[in-house]
Amino acid sequence: MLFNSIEFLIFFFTVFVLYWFIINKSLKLQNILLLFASYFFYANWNWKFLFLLAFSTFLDYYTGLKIENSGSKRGKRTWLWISVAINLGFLGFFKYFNFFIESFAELLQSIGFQPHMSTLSIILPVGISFYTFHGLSYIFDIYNGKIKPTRNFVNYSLFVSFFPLLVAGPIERATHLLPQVEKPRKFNYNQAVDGLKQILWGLFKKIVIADGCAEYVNLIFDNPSAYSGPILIIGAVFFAFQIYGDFSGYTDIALGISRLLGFELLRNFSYPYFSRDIAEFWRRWHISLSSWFRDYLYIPLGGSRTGIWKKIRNTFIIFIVSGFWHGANWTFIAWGFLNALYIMPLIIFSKNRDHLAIVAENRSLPSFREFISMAVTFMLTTFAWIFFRAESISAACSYIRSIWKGIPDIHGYAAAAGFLYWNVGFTLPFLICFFFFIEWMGRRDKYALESIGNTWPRWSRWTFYYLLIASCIIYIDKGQNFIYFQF
Amino acid sequence: MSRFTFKLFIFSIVPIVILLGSYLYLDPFKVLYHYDDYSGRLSFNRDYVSTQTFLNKYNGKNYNSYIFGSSRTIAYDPASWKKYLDNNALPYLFDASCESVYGIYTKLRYLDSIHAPLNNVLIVMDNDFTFATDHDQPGYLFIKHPLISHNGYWNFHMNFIKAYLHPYFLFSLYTYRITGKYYSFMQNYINKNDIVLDSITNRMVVPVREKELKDNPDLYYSKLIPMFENGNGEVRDSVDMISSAAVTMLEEISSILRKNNTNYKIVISPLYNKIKFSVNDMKRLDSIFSHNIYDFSGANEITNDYRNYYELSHYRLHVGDTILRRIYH
Repeated sequence: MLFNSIEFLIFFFTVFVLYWFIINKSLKLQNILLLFASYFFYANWNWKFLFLLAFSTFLDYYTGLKIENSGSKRGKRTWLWISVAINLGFLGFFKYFNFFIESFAELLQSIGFQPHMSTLSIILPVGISFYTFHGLSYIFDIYNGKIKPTRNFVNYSLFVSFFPLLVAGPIERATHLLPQVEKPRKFNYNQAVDGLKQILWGLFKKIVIADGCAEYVNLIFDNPSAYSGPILIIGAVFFAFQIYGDFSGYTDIALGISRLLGFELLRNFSYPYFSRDIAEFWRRWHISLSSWFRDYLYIPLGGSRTGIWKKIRNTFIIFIVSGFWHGANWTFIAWGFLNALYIMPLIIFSKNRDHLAIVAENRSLPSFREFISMAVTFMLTTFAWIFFRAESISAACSYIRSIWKGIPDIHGYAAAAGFLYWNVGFTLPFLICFFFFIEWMGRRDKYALESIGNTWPRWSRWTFYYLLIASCIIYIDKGQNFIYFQF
Repeated sequence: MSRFTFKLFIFSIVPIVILLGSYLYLDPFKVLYHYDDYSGRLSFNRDYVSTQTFLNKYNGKNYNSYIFGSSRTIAYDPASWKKYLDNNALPYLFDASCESVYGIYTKLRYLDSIHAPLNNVLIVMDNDFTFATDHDQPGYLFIKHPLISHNGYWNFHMNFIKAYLHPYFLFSLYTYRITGKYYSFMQNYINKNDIVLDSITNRMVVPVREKELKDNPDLYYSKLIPMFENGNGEVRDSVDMISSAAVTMLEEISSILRKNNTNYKIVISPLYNKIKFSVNDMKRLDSIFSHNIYDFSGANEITNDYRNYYELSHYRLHVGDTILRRIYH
């Protein structure tokens, strides 16, 4: 059940009506309804994996209580490691088992052995990376004394499996979401309107921008040898738009839905393509994952309060682990490694916190220097996305080689102009420009549409919303799955 | 909460009221009100137009001869057909887009039920459409007239409302209405050239195309040659297409024709794809219709010459004349 489907609309409408009109007086019933709805939503993907979700939930709930009740530090540590081992064991088995087997076989082959190893046909449970990290953050926070474990199993289960964030995040923290689950929620008009606007913008990002670009990205990446270097550059740039529109669009819809139900989730994106360096980009891209790794991996490893070599080591570790978290493929590891390389000069020269505020905060336009910085950062991230999108390292290298070879070829540029004119047309580039214009105008807000149009007359504001809805309806036939569901 | 619900209701209802109001006012598919002439540029439901024109005219014209089939019946001019029939024959072209055996059967069943004379019948079958389905198809271009299909008016009209509400359609329709010009993005909804329908026989003609073909056929085909080169595939028998439900309908058709003592002939269209009608299917048709079947499918002197076609799908008027001459002599 995709967020951008009629089935979800019916499902959510039913939940919304029951939640606010029928059982709005009872917090307990509201939470039971949301838990039931979340499990129904998840079962719609694959009901068999509900047992895994339920087991993982029970494990963390139980070990959380055990950690709290253990008298000794050793006992707490034992329960912590039991939870970590089982959680990561499941994640490792379902997500990485075949990868390790294949990589080990390739390693043996490279040194002359002919191993006979077979892989298993394992289906990756949707959202396992996300709900495993929810549970782990809860356990870590209890172990570190940041929170007390909840004794309400329904509330805890809802924290882990709350349907807007269940399959693709944002990765919530118990310190942030659990208190909201436990506290009575009142309908707030402004929050609900904000939620609807954020859903609309998320749908536009996903359906129009991401799915619109996906058509050409798939065409180019599926058969790169058929295209000139400049067209391959177009493919990479379109993928940069696609993945941003897809993932941040999903997040906007998830946050908007949560707002309609009275919850505020963690922010996951903050206009990353307006970043002036890679460090800023990583403070603005998939924020909930970056901060998770910062709090539970980088800081425990010593963080930045150590010597320069340890700082470099720690940075490489979190980027490579972050890459690996995305998928069992060397391409994701290469993507993480490349980003670690990009950020390294900033770490070494302590320039990684130069740009904390949004670009051109008190101006309409960026300075020339800011513009160049943003363009260079965008180029670097786009280059790294080639590894993220490619099927294998060799495919990514071949793609980059073809770009490189095609740069001096003048005919390639004519072919690229022809590709844009004949294949892509004017509508999609226009919509991409419109999208970035709106994002730029709204860059000081939590999401681009938050304050745009608030001072306009109602008829023009509503016309603007109708046009966004119409664009979504036009593009909805191109329907693609959300990229981050596979992670 | 009530403020939110009210505003959301107003926000949703405004476009619905405007769109439904404009739909009722414009009736873009001509399915709401009475029309004497369905000619125009907008793509219409050919089944509905054929049926409605028949209903409008039947009492005055007393048709007794019918051509059934898909848009490929465009090659069969009722006036040409009349030459081979009795002097009192009054032909009517009762076609539909992508007509199926279901459509032909339900039309004949309807005519039989109102005791319309069925003196002559010409059924044009195609190996790609006629047996592709044996039930009513959704979609504003294909859904059958509810009087014939008995599938209900609500379902019928919902297909048109859904088509109207599609933003591409709205954009195409209103751009056309405002500018009066045809653009390529409209091609799914608006025809490039005017389509003229004979209000008596229901014959469909595209005058601009006929004029182009008459004035300069070389120029006309020079634009289409790449299309015909790609479509020049190998000759082979197609797979069996006639389902058991279709057999039942064919038997019903045969029974109606026999009961009315109808002079009928069945033509298998000469399509440019040169796919020969399946041997098994031919045997079935032969056994049901007592050898009144004339098969022009596969490679032959008609299908080997692209100048016998308007484009890949439709054969021309002179081909229809040739076929009529052959089957009636």
